[in-house]
Amino acid sequence: MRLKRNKSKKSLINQANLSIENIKSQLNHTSDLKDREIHSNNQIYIILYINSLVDQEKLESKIIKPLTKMENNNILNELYSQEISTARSNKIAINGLLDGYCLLIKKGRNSEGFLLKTTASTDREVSEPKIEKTILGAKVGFVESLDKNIFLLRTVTKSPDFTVKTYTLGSSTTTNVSLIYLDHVTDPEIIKKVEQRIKSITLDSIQSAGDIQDCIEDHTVTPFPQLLLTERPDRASANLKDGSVALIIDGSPTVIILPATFMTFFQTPDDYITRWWLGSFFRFIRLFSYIIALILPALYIAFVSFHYEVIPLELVYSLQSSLSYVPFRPFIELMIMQLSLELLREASIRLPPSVAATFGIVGGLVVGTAMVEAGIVSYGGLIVVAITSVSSFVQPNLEMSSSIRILGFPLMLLAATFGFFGIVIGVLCVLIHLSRLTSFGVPYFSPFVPLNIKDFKDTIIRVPSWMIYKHSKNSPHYKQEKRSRKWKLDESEEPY
Amino acid sequence: MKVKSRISSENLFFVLVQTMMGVGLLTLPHQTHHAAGSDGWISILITGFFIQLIVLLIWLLCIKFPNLTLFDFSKVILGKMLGTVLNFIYIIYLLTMICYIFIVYADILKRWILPETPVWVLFLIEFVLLIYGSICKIKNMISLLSFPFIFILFLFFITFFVYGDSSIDVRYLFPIGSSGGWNILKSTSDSMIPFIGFETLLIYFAFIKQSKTISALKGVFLAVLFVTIFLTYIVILSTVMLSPEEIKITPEPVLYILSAMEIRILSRLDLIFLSFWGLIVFTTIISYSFSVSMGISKLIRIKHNFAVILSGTFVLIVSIIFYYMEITLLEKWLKHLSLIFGIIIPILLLLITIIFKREAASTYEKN
Repeated sequence: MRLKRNKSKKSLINQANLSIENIKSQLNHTSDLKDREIHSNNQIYIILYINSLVDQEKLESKIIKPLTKMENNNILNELYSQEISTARSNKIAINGLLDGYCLLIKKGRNSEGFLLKTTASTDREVSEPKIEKTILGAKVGFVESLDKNIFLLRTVTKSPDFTVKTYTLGSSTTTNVSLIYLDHVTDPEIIKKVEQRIKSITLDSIQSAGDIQDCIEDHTVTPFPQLLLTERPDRASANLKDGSVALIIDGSPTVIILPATFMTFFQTPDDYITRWWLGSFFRFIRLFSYIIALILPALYIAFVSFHYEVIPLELVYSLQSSLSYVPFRPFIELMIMQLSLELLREASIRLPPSVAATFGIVGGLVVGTAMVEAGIVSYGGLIVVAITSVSSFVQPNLEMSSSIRILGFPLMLLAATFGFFGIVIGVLCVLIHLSRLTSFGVPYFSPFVPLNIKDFKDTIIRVPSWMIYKHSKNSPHYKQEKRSRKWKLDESEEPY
Repeated sequence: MKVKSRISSENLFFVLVQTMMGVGLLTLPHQTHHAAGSDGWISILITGFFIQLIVLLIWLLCIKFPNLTLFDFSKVILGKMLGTVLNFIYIIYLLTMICYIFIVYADILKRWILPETPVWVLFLIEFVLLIYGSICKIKNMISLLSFPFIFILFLFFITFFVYGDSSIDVRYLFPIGSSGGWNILKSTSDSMIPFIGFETLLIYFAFIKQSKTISALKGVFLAVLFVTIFLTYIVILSTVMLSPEEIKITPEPVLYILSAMEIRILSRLDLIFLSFWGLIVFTTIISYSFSVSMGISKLIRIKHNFAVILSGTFVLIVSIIFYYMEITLLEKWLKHLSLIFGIIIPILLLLITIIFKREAASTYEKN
């Protein structure tokens, strides 16, 4: 029934003739659709607008006022609206009305109307990003408005190459999505792929960045994120300069960056602000902590339940003394700890900040020590779980750190069944999986698989910015000149 | 049929290194010592040089048939009937190699790390990893094989801990050449075994870009050189570490040496070494099973994925039978098999190609 109605509606919309009655009936005579007749210069004008979407002030001062005082019949010259377009069909008119434009029709000439921009803006002020914090980086985050986000991105990426392509997606409710890239920097293949995938989206409605992500990512059955979601304009801009593409969705403060490789998730704006030694060190720490968070629990299980002989004797004694009171196997012991930690983590997200401190003490300290004293877990297990969770908090990207949680449990299980060999099986499976992932045709595990030592310089380590003369594989034609430190030659002194 | 994917010379380097580095290394010093005494390292060097020559011959053979694998150009050289027979024997040979690796690695695992685990479980794991690793496109397999190279370097560094041991005695190496020239030469056939894997070049060379240039050969040469140096290093290390009497009675000298080592935070380095060695063994298995599946899918015209499952099942059944029946046929014949399939048949094919002037037939151009 509903489908049929939709169909008949669509056929009505597509009718060429512009008629106010038709528009009203297609918008179901909604009560916030207002119209007003204005007599001016022997002509009757009708203004149609949706009250809730229109800025009243603008409408009054820029449209209605000049219209009443108009002296000749040339509308386009008299009105103060910054954007005027003609609407020749009901469909265009309705889309315009829904975007907050007002429709101006000269009575008697039904075939043509003008859409004038009177959109009300309810943007919140630009504020500091909540999740992706930096120490020295810019204190600006994306907001919910498409135009403002493009503005934020443009101010940090001043370039004539900056290209915006906007698509309207969704069949029942429409959402504007903007594709942004730097022409001449980004690989045209990638742009082609993104455009093709976006055009093929036939979702009913697009709520958030997640909907787009589900539709355009290469692989769905994987714990690894292949698109980078960011709320920082400086991060988006840095990626644009590296030859990535940004997708901004109207109404969503997160911007999609693609293609994203594994190492993209370990970069932060701070790496590039601090000196390169520090930046490289931080990045190395992050990668190291990722590996630790992934395999430390599994290693502990393998050590304790299979390979006592690998750990030195003194450590075996101290572990043994604490383990001997625990009735569970190491695997069960770690599972209990990990699960309770997951509970704490989930709970702490929803709590108001004032309660969170108390919660941290009760949840973390009291439960932790009580568990050890009650003999449910051992000190060794507690230390391992604590180090694991701290390492997973080091990850700058939320989705990447959640991949640790998903992969960690199977690895623990394998370690509990086969010891070291099980860990190697698990790691090999992850490697095989990673070697097959792509993000928009770019190999996901890029500098490692396929192995390319040259690309290590902006992934594992961060070399000084003047040394990165070729940014990435996404931008084959773009090269940076290597002369920033040439002054060093001029200033050099003779040794004698 | 011409292959469509292309790989670079660097990729070929990684593929060959990973295919050649396999289970052979662990037992190598024992075998060379058996044949050539303390001069085992000389025999490895000679074999390495010899393999370089063979690889050159295989290159000469392959550039006559650009973008054709062994399974395709064998039919051009020998005719349809004989070619199919040759392909069949090669497939059987490659499958036997996988069986051999399956059995040896499972056996070593059982003896060193998992004494209580039934062996069929280990075979099953190997089977699953074979299937999972080989069902893919060649591009994916190539990129997978490049990464574990880092682990080879890592294992190389693990062996450095050995130098802290006081039992190192360089005199075990001397006098150089004491076993006599003829014995050393004779032992080269024994030291062939760790080099097995270079014959997959007959298949992988079809994928290389600009096969006729010398740069295409560079990756291959470097791969053989790298493996030669690595093996020589391992043989010298074990000769220096263990007295001749000890080597005679230890089947896996490398693991034996590492098991005696103890550094501050880790005892029993051999367990870590052996586990990581698993990564490298599995890449060998994946590389072999990929190439054999390519052959099977060409022979009986089935999809690659199905061919992988077929070859995996075959290997699983055969290796379980061989292991539980305690058939040591494979180890005895390995030397001769690798000699026949890695050296004699390629040389014969090359000779036939030159004498009868075979070229990539025009029938293939149509495809």
